[in-house]
Amino acid sequence: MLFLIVLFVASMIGVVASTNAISFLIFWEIMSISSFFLVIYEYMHKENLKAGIFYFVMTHISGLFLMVMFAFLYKYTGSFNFTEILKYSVVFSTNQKYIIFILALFGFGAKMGIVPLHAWLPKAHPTAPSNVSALMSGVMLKVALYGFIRIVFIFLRVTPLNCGVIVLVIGTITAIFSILNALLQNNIKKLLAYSSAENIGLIFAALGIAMILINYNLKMLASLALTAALLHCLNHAIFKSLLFLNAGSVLYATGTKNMNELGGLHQKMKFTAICTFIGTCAISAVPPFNGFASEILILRSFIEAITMVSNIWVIILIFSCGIIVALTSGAAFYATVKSFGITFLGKPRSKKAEHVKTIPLSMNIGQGILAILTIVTGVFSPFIISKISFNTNNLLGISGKSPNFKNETEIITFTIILFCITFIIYMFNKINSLNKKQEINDTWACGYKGDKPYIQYTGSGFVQPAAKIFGTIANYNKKVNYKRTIHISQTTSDIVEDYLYKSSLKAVNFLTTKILKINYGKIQLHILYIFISLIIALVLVLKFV
Amino acid sequence: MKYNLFYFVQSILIIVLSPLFIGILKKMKATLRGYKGSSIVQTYYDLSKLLKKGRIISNKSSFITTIGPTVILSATITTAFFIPVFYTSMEKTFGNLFILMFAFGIVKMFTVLIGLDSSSTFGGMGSSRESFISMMAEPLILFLMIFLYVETNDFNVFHISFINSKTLHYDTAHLITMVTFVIAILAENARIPFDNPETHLELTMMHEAMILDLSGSDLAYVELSSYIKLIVYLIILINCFVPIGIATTFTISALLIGFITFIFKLLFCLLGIAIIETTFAKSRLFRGAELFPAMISMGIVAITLIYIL
Amino acid sequence: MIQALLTVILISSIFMSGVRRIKLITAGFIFQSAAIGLIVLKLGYETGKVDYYILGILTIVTKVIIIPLIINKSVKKLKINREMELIVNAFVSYIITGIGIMIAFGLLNKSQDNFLKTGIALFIIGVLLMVARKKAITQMIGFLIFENGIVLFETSLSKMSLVIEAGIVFEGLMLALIMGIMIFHINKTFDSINTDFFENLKE
Repeated sequence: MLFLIVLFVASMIGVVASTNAISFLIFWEIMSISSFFLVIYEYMHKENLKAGIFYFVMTHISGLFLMVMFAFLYKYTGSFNFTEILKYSVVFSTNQKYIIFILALFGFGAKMGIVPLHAWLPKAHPTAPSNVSALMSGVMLKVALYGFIRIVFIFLRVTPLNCGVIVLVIGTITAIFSILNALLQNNIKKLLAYSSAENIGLIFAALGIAMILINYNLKMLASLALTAALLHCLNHAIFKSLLFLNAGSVLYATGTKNMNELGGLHQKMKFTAICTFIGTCAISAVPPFNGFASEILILRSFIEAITMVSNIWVIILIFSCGIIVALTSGAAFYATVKSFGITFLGKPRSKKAEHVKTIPLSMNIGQGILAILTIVTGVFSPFIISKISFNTNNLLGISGKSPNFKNETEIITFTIILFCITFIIYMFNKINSLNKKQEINDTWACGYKGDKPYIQYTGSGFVQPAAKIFGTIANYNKKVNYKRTIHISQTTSDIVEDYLYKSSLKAVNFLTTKILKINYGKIQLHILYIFISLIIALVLVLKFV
Repeated sequence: MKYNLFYFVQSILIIVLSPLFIGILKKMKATLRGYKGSSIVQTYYDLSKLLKKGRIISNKSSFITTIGPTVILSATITTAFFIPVFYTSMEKTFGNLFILMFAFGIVKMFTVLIGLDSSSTFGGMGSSRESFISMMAEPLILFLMIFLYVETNDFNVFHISFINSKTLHYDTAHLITMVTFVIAILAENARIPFDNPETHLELTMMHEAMILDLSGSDLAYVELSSYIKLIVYLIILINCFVPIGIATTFTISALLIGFITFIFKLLFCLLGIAIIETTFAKSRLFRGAELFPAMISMGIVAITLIYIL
Repeated sequence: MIQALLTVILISSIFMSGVRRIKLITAGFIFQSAAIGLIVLKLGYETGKVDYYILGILTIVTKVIIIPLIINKSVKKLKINREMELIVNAFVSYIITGIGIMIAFGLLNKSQDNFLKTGIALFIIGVLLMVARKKAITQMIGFLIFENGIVLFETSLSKMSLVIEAGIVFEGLMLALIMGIMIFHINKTFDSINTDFFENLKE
């Protein structure tokens, strides 16, 4: 396991540091294969193997598109070296840019997890061990994002308007679809996997706005949007890894991932509860943690783009996508509050939550370091923003002043004032309650006498209003069976997987049954096939080269 | 970054006087309904009575109930320092609209978790409904920020009220956005038609359900913070949309005019809320939630009017 | 002034697309028709042509006074006053209305004429009410909103003759009378005006 993780991390560093298309592809392949072996680390259960093979196929589809794209780049510019491609890519025509863009979108998109190529995310992340999930969700998705930024922003420089619009629309659809699916899940890790897809959708939407703005030659605002996307990359890596490690601790301690069976874990796992609380605050954009800084930069780039662009349809599009992004940030609050509140607070809902194993020290150290990093990057975010925006200004070729970030430096003042006032009220509270009694007793609950665990809200009950209104997006089905006992079951499934994947798999099956008729099993027929295809290949080569 | 001492004074004034304004609101409701009602300063007596009592916490609750009410009150008081009351100017100061709106997110997060922490049915019910309503109210807040940025090209609340007080003609897009923000205020502060702040019954609980298990000084902090939150939202509405008469220079006459017009506008808003609470009934959760897409449509109409008409 | 009246028209149409009670839909229709009447009167005041005055008074008399009277009489006889089930639920209706207004205004951005754009936005609302509701009365009001849209559409044309306008207004009035009588007969046959039961005519 240790060897595989070291290989995985080394290959990711290799992808980012390579200056050559060939080495890029080699390290990409090593990354794919090592992550596949890590995902099926617990290969004893059958479903894990199925999920792992699904992930393997998707990652090789992305590798295939990448190889085709680099082949096209070689054909247009004549070299594999990135600096040479940079020199020759100034003279690309629009059609060439379209081809490279579409191939990059499919290739990197299948690895990033944008709709409709996201179906492997909710399968692969729950089955992998938690530290592997943290690495994959936090780092590997960002490596694909790095590849996309390199192709689109560095090589292609100015893309046509349609490309930016496509990226913005795909990003927004990914965000709203994933978070509405995340709301209705009961498995902690599946909820976090869908939430990763939502954040990637947000980053993608910010990149789309940057591409549109570059097209209109509004470079200052494009630098702001690009800074927002990159800052959210960094922050998401930190807090999503923290949340996955917490889910891993819960799984280790109780043995179940189902939220409806947990509850009341804060009594025995105090440190994990505090770290999960910090992670939940970070992902819901609560100041002064780090999710807040990137969230307001993304919203700010949406708002400022509306006032500067001149085409009426683009304004309408950015406005609608802005409204949908605001809805997703509200829904992200809802989903993560459910994931923290139902799991850790309240009373234990089943026997599994009562017998809790102690967490070893190494797990606690990992969570603690990430929690401290969350707070530090949140409070000192203006410094990070100025460093990132310096680099994006160099990238886009703006010299001189950077966009106006004075609003974001107020977070330090806000935090200081908040802590001072909290301290004052805390002292006042202590002085006030010196001679008053403080009693710990049962829950009052408006006079109810029964103190059973099943009177609390369950996870599915907590999101019932959203399930009633948005249930069709996640194929929410509620079935009631009346036999001797009344049996209610609620199921959700991924509608993209149902409609798109299964029908395309059915089509491929149908085609193969038709083609199978050619194969009779006789060896002479096979030799004849090889000979005919050899002649055809020779003729083609002689004719066209 | 300068911070005028006078801003500090006006914020302290708001923090101290907000229970008085809520007392005036309750008295207005009582007068409209035809009975005498409690006196205006009754809220101060209630808060001091709660502070004198001891507190009981549940044996199933965690660190959230221990530190929660303190953090809620301090977050609300911090937002009160970030808004102009009746004097504003164009100096570089803090008061970013984003930090304001997301600071209320701290309050929301802690309140919802206190509701789940009490391990009773009512807490879960209140938290679930509150998260749902505020999820639907987020696009309205974003729409408010878009509109104010389109009008004034700035994000700072002080600068927005300064610019709007100089050059503003009250066209229809402005009025539509004001109505949209009023609905957002009613949603975030748990007023009718989303929640009934007077009763504690199962059917009409949203905010009261989440804090059902608190007692003593905890309850006093959370109640005070809900009063300050309503007043801060109303001040944002007044100063960004109808900033007639706000003082922009530091002279005695301008400050006096600013103070009187501010009190008058705030009392008018409280009278509006009292009339809404008396004439309308609380609607069902899903019927009330239908109000939000109507407001989003009206927002689309307002943006269209600004850009195209 | 004209901009404020156009805003009243748009807001009343958003309001009408999601409410359930027939009294509220009628109230929204009264506001809309009154605003259109006032716009036409103001245009007549500005240009001084007599056609506009007559059209304005005709619109106000028929659509603000007579047609709501017919609707209220029908509702009293039938003892229904709200739609229970909507084919397109209220959530989505509001969003469709908003998007429809946005697209209508975006498509016609080149022309400076405001009445054209509002008229086309009213078409969309009328069609939505006709298609997505089950009770016959709401469908009738949807058609009347469509008529309002045509009136606005025609005020934006440069040449307008009085005869065509009067013809359109009288057609709307006749339609309302006929629908009032028809609804009474439908109720006598089926014991409800829920158009689901029309499927029984298939065999």
